[in-house]
Amino acid sequence: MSLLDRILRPSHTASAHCDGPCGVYDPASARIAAEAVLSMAKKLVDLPESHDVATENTRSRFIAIKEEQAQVAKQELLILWTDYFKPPHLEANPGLHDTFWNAAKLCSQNKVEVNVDAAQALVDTIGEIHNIFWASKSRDDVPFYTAG
Amino acid sequence: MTPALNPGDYVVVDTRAYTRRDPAPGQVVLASDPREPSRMIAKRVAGPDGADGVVLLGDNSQQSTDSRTFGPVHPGDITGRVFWRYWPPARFGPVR
Repeated sequence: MSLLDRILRPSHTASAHCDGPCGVYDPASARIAAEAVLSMAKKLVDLPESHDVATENTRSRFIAIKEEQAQVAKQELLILWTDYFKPPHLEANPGLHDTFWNAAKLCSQNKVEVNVDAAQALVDTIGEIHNIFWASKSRDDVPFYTAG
Repeated sequence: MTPALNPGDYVVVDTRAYTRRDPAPGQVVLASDPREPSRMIAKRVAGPDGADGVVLLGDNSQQSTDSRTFGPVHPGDITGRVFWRYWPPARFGPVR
């Protein structure tokens, strides 16, 4: 925690949403963040080699968004993993923990590297989680799609 | 409570706002969750409920857990009025 954050951080935390009782979960939020990571990785690879101020500025913005959205994806995955999924889901999907662990690791890898394959793997893994998630709700009417 | 409050907003609460007057409809208040008093919630005042209760509603009725779930809140459980946001800087200003 930075010094600035220590100074500014309030002494109490309030919930203005409904973590816990609302029960509204959807892997779509992780998928959108992962797609942003993939998009930024592609744009970074395609960026010209030049080092003028404008290009460097664009490069830094792409990197910042990649980093931020990888963190968002990781957080959204952790919420699904730790809040939504319960022991009976694990019985039905013995690979559940491995899938989430892989997805979280891919979020980290996408921060460390500029790697289009890793970004695509993250989107694909979230697709697997999408399928497990909606199957656990006995819903077969929610296809996995990507916006990008 | 978006867009009035976003996750991670840092706000100031006036804990004396309701010592002399009652919460007014439209104000955003900090209260303890009747189902779990250690948990603090921020919701908007919809209005009084009879003599001894305040109805609190979230701004996003589809997603919010509020008085429709936990009923009217006792005025003593309302800590104060959420009136000012100081972080993030881009959203510095009154909470409406």
